[in-house]
Amino acid sequence: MRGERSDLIAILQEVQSRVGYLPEEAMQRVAEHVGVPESEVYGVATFYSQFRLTPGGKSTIRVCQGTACHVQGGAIILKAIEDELGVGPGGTTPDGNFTLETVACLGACALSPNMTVDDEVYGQLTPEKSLDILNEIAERG
Amino acid sequence: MVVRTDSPQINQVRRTALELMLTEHPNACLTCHRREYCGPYDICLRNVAVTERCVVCPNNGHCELQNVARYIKLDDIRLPYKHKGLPIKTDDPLFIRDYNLCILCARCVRMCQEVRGVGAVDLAYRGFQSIVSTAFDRPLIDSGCKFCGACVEICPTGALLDKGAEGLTEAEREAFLVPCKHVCPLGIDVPRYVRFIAERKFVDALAVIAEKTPFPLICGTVCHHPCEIKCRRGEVNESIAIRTLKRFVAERAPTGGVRRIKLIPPSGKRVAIVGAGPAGLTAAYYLARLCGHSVTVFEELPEAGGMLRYGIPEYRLPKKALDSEISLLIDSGIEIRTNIKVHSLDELFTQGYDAVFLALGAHRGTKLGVEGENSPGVIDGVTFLRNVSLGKKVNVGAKVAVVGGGNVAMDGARTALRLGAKEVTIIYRRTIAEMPASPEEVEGAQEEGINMVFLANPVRINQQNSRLQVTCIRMELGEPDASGRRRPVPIRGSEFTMDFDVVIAAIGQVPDIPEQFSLETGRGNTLQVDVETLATNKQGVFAGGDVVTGPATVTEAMAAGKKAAISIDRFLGGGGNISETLAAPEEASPCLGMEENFGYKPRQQICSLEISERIKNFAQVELGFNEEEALYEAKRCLRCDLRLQIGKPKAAPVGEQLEEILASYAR
Repeated sequence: MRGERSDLIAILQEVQSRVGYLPEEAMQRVAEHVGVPESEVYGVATFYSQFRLTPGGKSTIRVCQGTACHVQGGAIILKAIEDELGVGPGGTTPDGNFTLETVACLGACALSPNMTVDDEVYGQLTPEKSLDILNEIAERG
Repeated sequence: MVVRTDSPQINQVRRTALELMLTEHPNACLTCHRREYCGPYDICLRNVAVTERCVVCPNNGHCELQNVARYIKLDDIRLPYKHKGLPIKTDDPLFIRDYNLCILCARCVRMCQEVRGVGAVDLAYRGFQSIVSTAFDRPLIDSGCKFCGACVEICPTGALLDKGAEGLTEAEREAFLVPCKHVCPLGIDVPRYVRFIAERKFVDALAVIAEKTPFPLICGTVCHHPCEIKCRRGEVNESIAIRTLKRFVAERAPTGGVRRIKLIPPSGKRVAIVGAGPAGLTAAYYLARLCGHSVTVFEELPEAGGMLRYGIPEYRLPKKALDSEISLLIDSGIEIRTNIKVHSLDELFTQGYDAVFLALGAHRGTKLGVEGENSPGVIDGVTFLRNVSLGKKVNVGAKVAVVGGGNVAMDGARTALRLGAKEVTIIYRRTIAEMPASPEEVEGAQEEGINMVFLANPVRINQQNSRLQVTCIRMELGEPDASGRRRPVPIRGSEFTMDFDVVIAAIGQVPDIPEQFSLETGRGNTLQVDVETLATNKQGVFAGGDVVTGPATVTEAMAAGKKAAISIDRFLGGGGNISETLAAPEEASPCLGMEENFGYKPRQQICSLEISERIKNFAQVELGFNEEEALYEAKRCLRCDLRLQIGKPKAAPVGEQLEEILASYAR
């Protein structure tokens, strides 16, 4: 990618998609490449919730908190998962299996409430159902 | 078209915006009606904890936010006081960062990124978590910070502060922020010439120095450099080698190169200066060159220079350097008459001199006050050094003792070594920590293998055959004395003896003032003068330098010379203006740019002669900087003065001013 300031976000996205998060050294090199101070790269990386500064878990859970899901109890699903995993949005379980995140809408409102685990979408969730899915994934390894 | 900026709607928007900004701000200072009356520890009627009160806020009273709040008339709003409980960072050198006072205005960020081009900080996170931060919240030194202080200068609320600058007035603050310039006895604009060196403008750098002294090379060689001791870079890692930078430009660009002929009509007045040392010569320069008086300097010794020539050894200040700067003075029309001892002040006035400046120095060594000190082979430090400089044959034998811990003692010891002594021992009654000599002189002496016996003091000297048996007593440190140093107390029965060929007593010097002068003297046989004007009790007679202060430093003597020149010129009817502008006026670029590891860059080591080379002869020990070293060192400067370029913010109008504005709208 060109090393221009306007490419900064795209470069960070690329790094994150390959490494899984934005390590400190990577951000230093991006700063050098783009020619902006590191503090600016750090500012951008911390501003957008899409960027992670620490390694994520093996799987990433994204619980939808969009309007339709909210009406259908998305908050209850999130609460159940939080209680089960012991971490809040943005956190990673100590065993390194899951990272929990929230999203605004997955575009599958008809199936609400929804969540995704990695690239798989799960719909019409109940608290029990969502925990079963996570247990299954954890057992599968 | 009329643009209104005070409609009710606009005012409401302003209020709302400010209220939003203040929802998390410790804002008792903004809304409390008592804010001007409280002392920090009075009972707070609003029950605010002491540490969170408006009066302990460092910016209380000159906070821009406070001004704006008044302008918008936020006084009637009772915002709930809520301390954010955020950390106050005090670990960084020079700065304190109090996140509780930050309003995220991001001025510091823009200053750092866009004006200075450094980019050490930026806004991180968003929403309520938003904060001004270094990358990964690293310490400032690891963030690329160049410690220029511009962020503190423009912080409106006191979230960024200078460590230790609390409660200073504007003038004190400037002296605190640019200490090098303000501790210099001569007032040399240190940051300016250091910057010129960094920009490779060596002649301009020298011109800046020459504005304040006719002796840049002497200063660059032997100044006691208080600037380096106070240098703020020292708080980051190591201070700038300012003196050596000065020597570099003085050697590189000859002083003559910046001297501009300033034509002063002759005043017709004659000034006699007694003593051609740093004080006398400096006064001579300013009186003759900048005030137009006819100046004659009388010197008792064969050549001009005073302690510069007869006290400081060649290996520290080469005579060639001294001669080159003195010759410029002679070239500019100052008459120096050597080998003349002035006995009578009245005679000088009879000869037609209108004023006299006594810069006699302190050339008489203090006696040890012990039995046997008049034995042959016992000599005082200044006499010893003078004899060596005069080229007299001085026999030091094989074993030399030097008594004392000042610079004369170090000079005496290192000189004795160069004259062929096999073993030189310094005997000092306190410890190395209390030695008044400059640390680099002590270090130099130690490197050259000079022994040091601490906590010992001679009590008796016996002459046995051709040798001297010195009996010393062990000392211990007791209570601090008037100088703040712990007083040495003899330990009973701890006497011990050592044998030497020569004993050099360097325990202090006093001025030698001819009795016929009949002037008031004080402690240590020094002349009593008016501290402001340097005038003695005799009309038209002024005095300065060591003869007034007792043994002090070259630079302080030069400063006294300048002060005397001002007073004498005024006494002779002049304006006392000795300021010179030699460097071209210009303003520094506000951009500093990024530089990796700036904060960690170590001080440039000053090359010295090999020790084995040094002790063979009197060649100058310190070799100074080459161009590359000087550029590197000058670029380490924090540029503390740059922030003073930043104009004060235009504060929101308050009081009458505000009323006037509102009235003008009404019209």
